[in-house]
Amino acid sequence: MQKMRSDMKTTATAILISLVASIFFVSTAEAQEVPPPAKPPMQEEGMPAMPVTPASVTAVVEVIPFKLEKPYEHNMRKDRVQVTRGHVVVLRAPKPYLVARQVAEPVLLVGAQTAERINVGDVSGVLLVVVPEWSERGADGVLRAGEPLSARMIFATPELPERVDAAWISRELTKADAANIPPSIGRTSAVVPGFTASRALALVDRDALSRVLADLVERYSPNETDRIAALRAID
Amino acid sequence: MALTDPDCAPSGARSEHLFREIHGSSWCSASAHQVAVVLMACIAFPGASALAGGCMGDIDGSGDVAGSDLAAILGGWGTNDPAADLNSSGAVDGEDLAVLLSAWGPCPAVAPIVAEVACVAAATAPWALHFNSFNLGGTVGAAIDPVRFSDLVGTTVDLVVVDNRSAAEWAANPALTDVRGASQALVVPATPAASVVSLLMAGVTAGSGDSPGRGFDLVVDADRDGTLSAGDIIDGAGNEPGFWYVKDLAAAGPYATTSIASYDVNDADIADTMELERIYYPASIAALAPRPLVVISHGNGHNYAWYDYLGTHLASWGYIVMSHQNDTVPGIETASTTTLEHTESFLAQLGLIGGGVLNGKVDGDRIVWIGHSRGGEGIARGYDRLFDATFTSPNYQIADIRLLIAIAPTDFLGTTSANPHSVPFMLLYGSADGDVCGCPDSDIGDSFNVFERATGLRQSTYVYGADHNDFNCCGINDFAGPIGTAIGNTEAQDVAKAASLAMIRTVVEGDRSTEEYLWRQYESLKPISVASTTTVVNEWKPAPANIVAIDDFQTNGATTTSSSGGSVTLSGVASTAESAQNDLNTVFTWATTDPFNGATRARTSDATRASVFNWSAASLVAWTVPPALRDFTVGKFVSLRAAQGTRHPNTIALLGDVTFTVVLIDELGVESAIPIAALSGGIEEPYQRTGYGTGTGWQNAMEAIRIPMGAFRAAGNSIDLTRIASLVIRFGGSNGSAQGRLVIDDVQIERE
Repeated sequence: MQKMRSDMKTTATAILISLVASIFFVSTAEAQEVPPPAKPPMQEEGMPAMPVTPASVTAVVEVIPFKLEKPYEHNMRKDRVQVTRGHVVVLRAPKPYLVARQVAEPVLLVGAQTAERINVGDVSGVLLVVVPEWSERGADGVLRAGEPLSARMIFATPELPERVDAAWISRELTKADAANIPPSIGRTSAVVPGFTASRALALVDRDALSRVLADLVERYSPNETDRIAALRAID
Repeated sequence: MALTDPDCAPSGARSEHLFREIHGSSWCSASAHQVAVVLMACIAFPGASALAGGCMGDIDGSGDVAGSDLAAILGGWGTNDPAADLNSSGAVDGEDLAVLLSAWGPCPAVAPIVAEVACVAAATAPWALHFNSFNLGGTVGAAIDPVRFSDLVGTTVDLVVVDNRSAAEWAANPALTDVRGASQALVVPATPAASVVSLLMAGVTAGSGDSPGRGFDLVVDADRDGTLSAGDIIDGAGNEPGFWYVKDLAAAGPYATTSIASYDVNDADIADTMELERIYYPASIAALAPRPLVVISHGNGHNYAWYDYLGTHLASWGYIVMSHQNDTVPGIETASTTTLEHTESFLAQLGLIGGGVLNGKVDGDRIVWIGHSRGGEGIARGYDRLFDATFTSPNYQIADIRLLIAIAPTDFLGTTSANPHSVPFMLLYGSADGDVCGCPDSDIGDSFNVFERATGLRQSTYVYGADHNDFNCCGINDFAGPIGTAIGNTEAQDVAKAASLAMIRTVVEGDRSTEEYLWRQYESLKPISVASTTTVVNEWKPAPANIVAIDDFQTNGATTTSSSGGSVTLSGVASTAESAQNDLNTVFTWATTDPFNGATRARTSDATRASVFNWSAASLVAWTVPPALRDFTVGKFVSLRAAQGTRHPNTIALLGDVTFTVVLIDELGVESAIPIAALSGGIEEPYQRTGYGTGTGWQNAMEAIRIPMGAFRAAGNSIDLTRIASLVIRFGGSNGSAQGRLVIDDVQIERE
């Protein structure tokens, strides 16, 4: 039986259980059963519980535009794109959204684009992401390049980014609408004091961008030494 | 039995190898003519005529081992003809043939008896269990069956431990040279219950070359003349030893290691940010022959530098290990691509890596993939892509991937894509995993789904108290379980190091010294440095060719009919069901409407099925064995796997290992019963983790029970193992636990 996620309605579960039970042979010689003990052993839970989605990032620390001479492929969505322009965004978020998860990691959307997580950030609380340039139609109907600061940055439903497409993103943005999640620029608390909007970095390729990212991770999330070393080791 | 019978006995050693070389198939698919041709080839095999290990093969008493004896073997093939059953296994099979061939030619004046002697003591009948692997520093038992060797009871014999010799070596040198410096005198006990003695092994070393195991032959020198001679008993007469003395599998191996901290493959087929590798290898690689390659693919948010413990460990045992950046954030397809491409790039760039230090040193025909979490699913998906030929490489092919080891894999892609197919597969998994949790509400976190899909040899090492990131150095503490049960990453990694080494040695190297660590009860055999308080549940299922299924529950879905077509009698058991191993709802709370509560081993699209029932008084389940399957001597083990029912009242009331008794009954009604308590331990209770409803107890922990066929022979005295009419499991009363609820599956005979 295909398992249901816990957010499905209880009534549906009950119906399903009844239906399945009806097709099983259950002996009439059922043993006398006793209730389970009242006090289960004390438990530890190290992994933070899965937080609700959609949810906004807490704050935007820095936004750095970049452009590359040589493109690279953005594989964080089903319809992969070649990237020559985009933004590095430094942001803050609660730990439950940042810890690395295998089963249920929320997809981070910046506007209508999937963001590539560069570090984990669960200790520092700071996450760096790379957001390839995207375009979106404004209220006037004109297609324009998206701007991170005027876009919503949301942790969307957990999913594998490689399975995410425009339709999925659209549905998630609709959920964000329903949850009244505003764009970052619309929240005075979202942009931290000292926020810097840098000039666009002109770089050769993704390797060069990785070296910039290494410096940024070292500055904002210095405990992630293995990640920093890996970013620097690329040649 | 005809040689074309699918149940014909497997043969071993050189003759079987030669047959495969010539015909590309096993004895079991051979015609009598084919066998005869190969036998002649064996006889002509260089050195074969010199093999004279005594007169074990002189069936007709002519004074030599010759064609007439060969004819007797062929004439008795598949029967239990004692004259032709040279190794007293209960069947005339390939092993007898091997013994005969090893003795070909004139008889020497001596005729030792081949029998199993090395053993583990059991608290109940059959008192001695003839296992073959023993820990360095642990107890090595020896038992002389006082029934079979009644003439020796009360006499003094010498137990002699000799470094393993082949049959040819024994023929050339029958002198008994005890590795301990002196043999061990023993007055042969009169009763089976007192028959097991401990060998004095002080000062004896373990390991041999790259192998953790050192093989010994064990001789009972009955006439105490210091020579293998008539009337002596030998355990290990063939080329394989009588027993292995094994080093700590979790400790470093014989090689000093070195590593390349970071190597960039600069491969256009790999994402720019995923090109790094860390490489571990023996420091003396220049002096070594090409070694198998082990590839490690990390999980999401993990790092390729987080597996030093495993890379260094395996390199110390002679393997070349490459841990690579793994593109897990996008998903499983990208992860699998990274594994596939890094394997290709590594093999292509051996001339560049480390200045070419590994050039010519990697055996690209023997590759092991290890993957963690999303990376664990990624290796299964990678193998599936090779299987589907949607990925091909100029540098390796699917046959080169010899083994997958998945550590807590996710299951995003499901049945058709997260699929190891028939490649040998190992699952390493912690019961306190707070991420890939084995929870009932999502298939994605059910690692056992992937395990159950593996159709070849498969093994599971389920580690109580280990969490997801205990299997790397530096991931977040995700422990989820009862306070006080966390074993910590040092202990979990010791289990992982030992289990992965054992699996690689067994599968990739054909090293038999490590196999028993993968299926014996952990209470009976565990790696030396793993704590006795650590609970590990082993599952082991051979490849289909080595199985004769009595009931695998995959067909004939009624509880009263086995998959092999025989009737099944259930007496006294309750709440019986036979279905997919799939918890039907989103909680672990026990409910009669969810008979497979806790079974997190299948999606709706998966095939694995089992039986489940409970008891609270003396009861039984009895399988009538179809006539075609009644010769149990085709196998070495009677086996099944079982798990306690999660949060069932009987499970909760017992809260300990469940035990029961496995009984064989022959056509004349002679019984032989083995209580599984004799194996040490039993079926482990579920890990006592809460959540997902009320009550305590986590997902079903299936555990293998393998009972050596010889144990039934020893316990049943006159039972005819060639004519087993029924296999019965008895519960309650004197048969084991007074109550319980069990999921049972794969009731079968196993050839190896």
